[in-house]
Amino acid sequence: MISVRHATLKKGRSLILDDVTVELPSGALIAVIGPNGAGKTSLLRLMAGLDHPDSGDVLVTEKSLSQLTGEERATTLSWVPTDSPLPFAFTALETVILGRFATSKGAPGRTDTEKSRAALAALGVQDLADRTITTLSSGERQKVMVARSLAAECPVMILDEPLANLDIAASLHLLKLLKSRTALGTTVCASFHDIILARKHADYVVLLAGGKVKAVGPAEKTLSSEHIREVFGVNTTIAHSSDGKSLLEFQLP
Amino acid sequence: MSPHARPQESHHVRHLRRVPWSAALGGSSCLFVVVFLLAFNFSSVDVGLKDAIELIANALSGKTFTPEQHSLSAILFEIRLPRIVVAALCGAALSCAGVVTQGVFRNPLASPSLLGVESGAGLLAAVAFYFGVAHLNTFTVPIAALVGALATTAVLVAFSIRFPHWPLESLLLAGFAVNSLQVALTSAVVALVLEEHQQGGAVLQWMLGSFSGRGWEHVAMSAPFILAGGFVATKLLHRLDALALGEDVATSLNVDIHGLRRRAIVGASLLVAGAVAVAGAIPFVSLVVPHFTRILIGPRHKRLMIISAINGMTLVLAADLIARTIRPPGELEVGIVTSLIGTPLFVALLLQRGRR
Repeated sequence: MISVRHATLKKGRSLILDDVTVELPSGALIAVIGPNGAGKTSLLRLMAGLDHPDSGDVLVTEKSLSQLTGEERATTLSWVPTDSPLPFAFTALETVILGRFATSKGAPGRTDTEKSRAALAALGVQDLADRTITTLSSGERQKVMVARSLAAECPVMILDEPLANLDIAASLHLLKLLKSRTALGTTVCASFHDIILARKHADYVVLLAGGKVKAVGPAEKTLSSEHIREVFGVNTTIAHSSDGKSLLEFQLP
Repeated sequence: MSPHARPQESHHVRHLRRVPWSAALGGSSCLFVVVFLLAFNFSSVDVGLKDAIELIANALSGKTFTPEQHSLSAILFEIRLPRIVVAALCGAALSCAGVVTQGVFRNPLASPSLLGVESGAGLLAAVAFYFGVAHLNTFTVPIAALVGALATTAVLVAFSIRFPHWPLESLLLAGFAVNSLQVALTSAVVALVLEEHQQGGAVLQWMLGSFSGRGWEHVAMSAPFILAGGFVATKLLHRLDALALGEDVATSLNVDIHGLRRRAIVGASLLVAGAVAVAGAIPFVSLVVPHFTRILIGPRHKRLMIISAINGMTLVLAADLIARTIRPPGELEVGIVTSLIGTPLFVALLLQRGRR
């Protein structure tokens, strides 16, 4: 679905992404993992078409992002940033309806409203529909933003740290929801800080360090104790319980 | 996903109290009609609504006017009505410019005066007074003001084309720099005018904003710019909604934010240019009206623009009514009145935001 080929990105003199090449499976939950400053957000922004690589290319369904029209891009890829302050008091429902902007052309109808209510319900926040987003907690706002992305019904969802403001129950709910979307064929690509959750729930992992891909592949194989030590500089103990669950613990060396 | 079985975290947060759209439209329109009738009724010349109705009834039934009615008709339709129309046009224009500016800068406390368009108009108007050409023709000062406003707009658009990837703050700071320079130069020119001419009063009146003696020719002069700016602005409203979610999200929703920014600057500038050319600088309207209307009906830009336009007409008309009746037989500058009304509103706004 998404392939990044030899993508290089510079900001001023510093190299943010260095010859990144990854081929991501479609209909999968893909976790982008790496320490602070590894280039996770930059890679996601390239995939979302918000930035363009200085060299190399990003392809979605075999087509270069730079060759898509704005409308094709907007109906293929949806973007959920990390929490950002919002200046105006739109209601949660109005915000989610705006997610369908590319298809509704700014004149949302009954279908747009229905699908937006369904998206809020999918995240369990239908009660917030008439609340203004400026009065929501950052976790509630995050759910509304994910609902906005769901309502857009794009085949690819790109989320920057979607769990950042969520408690453990909300995190598990969101991961379950994203998994259920991948079962319907949606490709979900998100950055995570929680290695344990990512290892358990993601299908595929891109491990970044210093703007380079350190490892890429199925979650358990990619997030091995060797790779984690190499990238994060911590030791990992992985234990397996009798019912097949793995338990991870990290220690400073 | 099932709803979380968790205690309501924020039941203490006040629930949204927006005025329903139809009520807001009806209420604002009624208020406007009331203020319009008051403005039509009261002035230093004692011609009331009753006389006007008689006059209109006479005209419609084809009866000839008495000489007295002829002079009445001249007062009402050649002096009072055009002044009302100019005031209403300027109120609507400034408020709509405020809606667009606040939307594009994603800041509810932004105002078109940040763009420097008003100060550009002020500078060239002051220059017209300095060279003693202001009194030659009714149009000299308005044309000078228009040129100043449009030149400033051109500078801003040039900035945004030359540096398309500038963050918004930089564009605002560029506007701020241009604005400061123009204000300083204007002060210098006004000081020279006061020193060398007898027109000190005229230049000050212009700087403070006034509708004194405005006629149909002023309507004809400002309307094209205000309508053009309004037309540009109405094409941007749903994209401004998307922009409220952030520049990246708007981009991902297929909004060309650089094009939007340029068009918003052009639209807001044309609106302000049309108003400032015939009325001078009228402060606070473009800041306060959209902000209060947003609190009233919510931030969706299409509705916001319609109600703000009506409320802007009402506010400026009311301010002008106060300005011309408070100190008979003379009048106060309308800009002073909008400042006197606007400042406490603005402070109340800041206090209310601070509490949140």
